[in-house]
Amino acid sequence: MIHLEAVAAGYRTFRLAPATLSFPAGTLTALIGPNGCGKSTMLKVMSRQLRPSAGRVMLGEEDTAGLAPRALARRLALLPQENAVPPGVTVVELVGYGRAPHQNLLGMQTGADREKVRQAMDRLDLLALADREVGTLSGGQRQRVFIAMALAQDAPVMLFDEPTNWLDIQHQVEVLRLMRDLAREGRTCVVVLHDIAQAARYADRLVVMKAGSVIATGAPKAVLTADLVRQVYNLQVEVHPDPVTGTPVPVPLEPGRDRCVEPV
Amino acid sequence: MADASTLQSGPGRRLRTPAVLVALTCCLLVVLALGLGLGAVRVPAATLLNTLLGLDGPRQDFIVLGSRLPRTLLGALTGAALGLSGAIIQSLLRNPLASPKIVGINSGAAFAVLLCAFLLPDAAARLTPFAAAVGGVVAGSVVWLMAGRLALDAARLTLVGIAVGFVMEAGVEFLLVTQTGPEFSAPLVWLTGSLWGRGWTHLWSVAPALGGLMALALLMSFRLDLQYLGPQRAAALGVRLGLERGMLLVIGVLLAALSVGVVGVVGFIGLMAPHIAARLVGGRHRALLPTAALVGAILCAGADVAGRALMPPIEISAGILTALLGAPFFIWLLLTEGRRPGAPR
Repeated sequence: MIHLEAVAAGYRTFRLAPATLSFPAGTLTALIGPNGCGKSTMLKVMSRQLRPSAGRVMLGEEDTAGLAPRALARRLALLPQENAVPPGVTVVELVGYGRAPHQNLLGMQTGADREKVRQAMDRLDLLALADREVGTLSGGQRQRVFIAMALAQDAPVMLFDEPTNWLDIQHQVEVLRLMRDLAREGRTCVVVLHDIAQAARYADRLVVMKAGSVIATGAPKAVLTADLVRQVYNLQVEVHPDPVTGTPVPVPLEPGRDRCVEPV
Repeated sequence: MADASTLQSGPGRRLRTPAVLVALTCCLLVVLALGLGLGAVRVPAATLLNTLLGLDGPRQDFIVLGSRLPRTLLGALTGAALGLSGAIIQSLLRNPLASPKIVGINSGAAFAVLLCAFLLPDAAARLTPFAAAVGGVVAGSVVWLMAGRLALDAARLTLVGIAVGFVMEAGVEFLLVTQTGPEFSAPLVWLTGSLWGRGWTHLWSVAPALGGLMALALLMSFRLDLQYLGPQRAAALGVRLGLERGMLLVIGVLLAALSVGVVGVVGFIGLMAPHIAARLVGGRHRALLPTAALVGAILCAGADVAGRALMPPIEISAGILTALLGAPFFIWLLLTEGRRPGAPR
């Protein structure tokens, strides 16, 4: 689990208000909020890419500030939003880089490393692409490669910044199910999502942010109301249950237009 | 479907790295042999063997052992260092068009040599390698420190490097235009990058340092793989960004600056060798770095022997030949790099 104790952070132009948040093991938490509300900054603070200006980020009982970089990377994996594609590197090689914190500094892979890499590729449906150069893949395939790399890192805490970017709907759903499964296996999963309905459908908890502050946290059904969406996104919506899962789905209203189906 | 065994073997399309390394080594040996045999005086193969192995029969000890052997070895060594330096700098900056020149090393070295000839005309010849190395390292450090203040951003580092290079070149041109004394003829030849007159003392003055740096570079090849993923991804994998980046940059700068110091500005090897190597063995630095070093050695030693053999007894500087070869290559690179899948965006 990962726990933020009164953590504040920021850059010259943007500040995160002090927040105390817990992300328990075995749960999938979705961070949602409008563009520029600080979701990615929050992930950066949690992964120590940005040092907090106040408060502590605790991994279990340990303050992340005191962990060596490789020790931290063994316990916490991060999928950033932007990932550079090295030229001339194949899928299996790139996913293999995820093993770096478990290997020596020279990067010698053991049989166990190769097995973890194979499993990660299998879970993202990449085995058939193993020997393709990553640069020759489509955007969605690349995204799956980078998710597999984070998975190969095999850390108990996994943070994903907009993992469904670039993906078609089939792979969006597969990736979200994968994150839910990772949480069910006992990991702590935190994922930044843009699609509120998807977040409500797959996440156990939502953390809603606006302008650097956490506005609400809790189970999707309790948190996601029309009032909250109006307050956070400045958008008039009705919230309907998802016909399959019963989770809340915000549906925007069109000004000057009547609905054609009466609410159930 | 790929099973575990094919996962380890890598792509079939890409040539197997050991085969490439063996082939390049053979190629280098041929170039070295040509380097010993060709020039103003042609040494027949039999004489060459007699000389090298110390056998009876006709020998050419002075030309082969005293002059051509150290010179050819020095060409191969500095070429390897330049190729390796280019590969490190390109990957560190994640810029396929980067080279030691781009981070200001060449022009820093050139400026320092000319300044040395201007300020200390009597000692200039002796101080040339030293001055060049200092100038290259100073220019490289200025670039690094300035870019460090601007956060570790590859694109900005490249731009700062170009800017610093321009300042140094302005200095070079100022000195060339305003100073015309005889003490400036030697630096001028040096500027074009030549192995003329280089002997064992030159070789031994840089061989230990270059050898050590090259070994260190090869040991860090996996760290370079991780650096290429970008600062955020690399940090997420437990890389100490600033420390490792700094070490790699210092290695890259020193390799180039020491080479430039002893053979002058042999351009384009640092740009070409890594690209040729990447096409041969792919982008993993464990394979890329040794391949780039071998390709650089072949290019540099090859340019030297070609410059001697083309129209003896006149020698064409290796730097002139690599520029003749390198400029068209550079243009071809610009024309094809954007279309190549996997080129950094």
